[in-house]
Amino acid sequence: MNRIQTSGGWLVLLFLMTAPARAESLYLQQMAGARWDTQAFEETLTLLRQHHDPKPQPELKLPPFHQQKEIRIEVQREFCVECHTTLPHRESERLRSYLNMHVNTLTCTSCHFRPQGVELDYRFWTLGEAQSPQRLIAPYSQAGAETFPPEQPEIARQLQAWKQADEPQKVQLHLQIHTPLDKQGPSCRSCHTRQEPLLNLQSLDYDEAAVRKIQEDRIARYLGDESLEDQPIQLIDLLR
Amino acid sequence: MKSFEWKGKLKAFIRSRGFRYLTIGLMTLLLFAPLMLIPQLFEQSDLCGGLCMRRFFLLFPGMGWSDFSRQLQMAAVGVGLLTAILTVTFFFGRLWCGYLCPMGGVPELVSRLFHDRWKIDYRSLPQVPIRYGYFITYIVLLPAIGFSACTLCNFITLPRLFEALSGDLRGIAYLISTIGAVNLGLLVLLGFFAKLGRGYCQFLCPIGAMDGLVNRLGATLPFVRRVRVERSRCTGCRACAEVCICGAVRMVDRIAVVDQLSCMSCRECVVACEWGAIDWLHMPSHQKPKRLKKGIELAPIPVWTSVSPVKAKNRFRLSRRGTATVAVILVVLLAGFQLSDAWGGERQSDPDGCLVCHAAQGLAYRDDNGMLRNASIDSEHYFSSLHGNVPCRDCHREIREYPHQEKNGAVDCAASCHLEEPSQGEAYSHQAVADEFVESVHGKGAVDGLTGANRWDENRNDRPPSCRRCHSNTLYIPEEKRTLFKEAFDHEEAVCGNCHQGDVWQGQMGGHILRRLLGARWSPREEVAMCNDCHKDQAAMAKVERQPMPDETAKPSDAHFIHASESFDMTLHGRLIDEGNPFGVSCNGCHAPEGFRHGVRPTEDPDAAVNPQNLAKMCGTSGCHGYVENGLNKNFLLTDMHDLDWVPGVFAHQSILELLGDSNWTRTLFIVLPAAGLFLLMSLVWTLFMRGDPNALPVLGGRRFETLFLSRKKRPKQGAPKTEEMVFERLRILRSQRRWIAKLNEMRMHKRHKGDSS
Repeated sequence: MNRIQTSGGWLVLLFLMTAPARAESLYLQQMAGARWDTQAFEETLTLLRQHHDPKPQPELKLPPFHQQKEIRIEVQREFCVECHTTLPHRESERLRSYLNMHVNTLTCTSCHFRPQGVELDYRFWTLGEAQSPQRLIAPYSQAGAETFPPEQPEIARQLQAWKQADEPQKVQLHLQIHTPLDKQGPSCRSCHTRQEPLLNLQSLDYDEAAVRKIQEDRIARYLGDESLEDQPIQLIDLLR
Repeated sequence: MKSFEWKGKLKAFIRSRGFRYLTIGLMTLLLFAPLMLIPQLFEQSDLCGGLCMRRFFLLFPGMGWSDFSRQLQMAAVGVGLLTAILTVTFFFGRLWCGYLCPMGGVPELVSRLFHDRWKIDYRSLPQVPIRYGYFITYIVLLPAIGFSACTLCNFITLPRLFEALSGDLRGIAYLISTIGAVNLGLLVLLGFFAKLGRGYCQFLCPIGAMDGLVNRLGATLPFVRRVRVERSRCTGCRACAEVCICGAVRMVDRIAVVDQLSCMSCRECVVACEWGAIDWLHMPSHQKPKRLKKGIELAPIPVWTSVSPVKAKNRFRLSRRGTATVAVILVVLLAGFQLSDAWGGERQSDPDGCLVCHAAQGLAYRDDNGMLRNASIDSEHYFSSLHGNVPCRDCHREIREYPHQEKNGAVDCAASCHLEEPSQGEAYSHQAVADEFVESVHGKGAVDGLTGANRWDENRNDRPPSCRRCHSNTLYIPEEKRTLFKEAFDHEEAVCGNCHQGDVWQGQMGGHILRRLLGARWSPREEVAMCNDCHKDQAAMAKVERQPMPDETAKPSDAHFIHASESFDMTLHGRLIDEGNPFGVSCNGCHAPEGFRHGVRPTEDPDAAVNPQNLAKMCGTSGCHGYVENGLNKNFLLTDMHDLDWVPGVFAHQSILELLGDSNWTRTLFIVLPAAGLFLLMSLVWTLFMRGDPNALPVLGGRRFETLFLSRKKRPKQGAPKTEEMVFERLRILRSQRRWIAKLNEMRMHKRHKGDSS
């Protein structure tokens, strides 16, 4: 079964490579061509059985004591949020809030879709209403933005299939969707650095001050320091 | 030519009864549910509170001028309206009562639907003594015996009736409460089944009583018009007295006489009179000094005057200078707001550097409960807030490292911080407030150990309220008070600062104390909203176990407690709050009027402000009902501020017996209801089936009216009274009188002549 699927995927890939005018996006190609072994299958099955994302709760009647800055969580409109919610990072107590800050500027695929041997171009991807467009940085391949709102026909089909799928089918779909993706994402210091950052911020219209602020960010410097990973950060250190 | 005809028709219509009914109908639409356009202009849902025209002149024993002025200010709109009504009445007659007031108009219109046989004719009762007797009772005696002015009030009953008809639960609840039912019964008996429907206006309406007095006073001025009788034209046909809606016209010696104390200027009589004898006239000239002619007193023949055409008034228009003034004021205000904004955004330091991270946008995650944990503090707001110069770690004491441990961030509201208390120079703390709070009914709520995560648990309905349930870190000076604060602050610096120099004065008096003086505390409305946040939730309140006294066991909540918020909303206190009137009284206004206002205690507690022993003192605090401590006002304190009767939807918690209660109102109901029912039934029967006799007299008071007011021995059996015959009769009398005068003159002349000659 898998083999038929995968071979089908390769065929599609071949077809697409021979017909560049009808290029399909890289992620969708990889999704169609995803392969996995039994171990991955078993792991995903366990994951699906054990994992429960908390249901986002509406705001409490008891208000927070301090006035908070509004979280613009509506910005993220990729299909990933259908399952992972708009604040997807939960696991690392140390990093979750900081990682969630990125949902206002980056699409999920910017960090989590990093195909081997392919040079992706990072540009602004505009979504939302014409009156108040939201601009997020997204990876671009030859076929266009490698970022998918839930309305995208292929994605919509997958989401629909997910809703109707039984357990083994869900595992398959899960693997198909996630195999092309990188769970971990790049480390803090791969962008927040002056030396060869992953993103060329200058080309993305950031002015020099903003670029410096991002690349020399002291919080990222501490959080990204692997030698300090297990030690709590003393607040006083941050101020130095 | 055509336009002239059209104008004539319009004039005729304006003079007709149809026009009067039209205006009453319009006012009904404007004042009552479902539209309530006029109350809504003043952000109200009824005619009570700020719009009330009938309560501000009540005289409570021991009342001083300050109390009276408080009553005036509280119902400012009502005072204005009543003044306008009385002024108009003085110069132009009782237009409000006759043409506008739907409280009197609606019963009149309803009354028209029914056959006259099963009605009560109140018109022949001695209305002036009854009205003014009740008026004095209403103003002086009823307050003294603790009888609320609102209990017998058509200005509640009719609006509530219309609310009920438009499906509003509040209206229905009112009408089936004991007081509501008694009022409805009176409305039926004094209105719907009164002949011509104006019984309430005649006897019980205090506004009508005042209006009548002013009408009478205005009638003394020669240039003011009133409904008057041209005696020489009156044929004595009784038509005017018969149609008079309020029994103001009476036949005296076969001539109609109008009582200006009772006349409502409705002009029904003017329409009815076929001879133009009764009309909207100036004072008859024969009341002016008579003139002597050759030693004989001669009353000049009254001159016929017709109603002058109504001139269109100038529309309100702002002059060019006025427009410019308004524009300048707006610009100045706008500039003021801008300046105050710039001034308010002053920055303080963040010694622990917490905001290095916490000021960042989007620092958030969802915890295991799915609750949004937003750690992005709005730093601009924080620095301008009450705790703006309190460093984060003064409250979140144990936080030293990242990732933060939940327990390390726990806040104790009663802990002292590094701020200095301005007056004594000690470390500042909320300990005194916390002490008061712990002693109160809410004392089980948490004062310490408050963290972001346990908000989830505390949010559950059955949890007692902690400090943060009501308090959040609000702005030091609320947005709306900034301009005021800045003005006062500048004044301090410029004027007071001449003598009181130095930083201490500037910082402490100028800033801190000034803020307290300007009343940055909560408005009563905010207080009520805060209490309602929990107390309006009936399901949650039903689960609360109350512990009345420390030594007593907890008792389950009763209907009184569960519906405390709703029943309060129905009181005058609650309604004033609802309409944003500054004289509204919040929950704390009674339950914790003194101290830090956290000491809400159970009613049974002898120290509780609302304990019956302390009521008189409590009602007199804050300059409210200072007169209540006067012994004569004892009954004033019996007013139930949480009366379940008027609460919609309370019936699930009560039996019918409980609902009716054992009061004089219930006993009244046993008399009023059957009587009202009887009249309703019989009127319907007569209206539907027995329309045969158009001249049937009202079953009560009809005969009396015939004899007393119309001087009629027996009512003519059929048809209208034969006016022609009466006219001839009248003319005969006049002619004979004239003949007598002539004879008299002749005799006098003869006498004088004789004297001259001798």
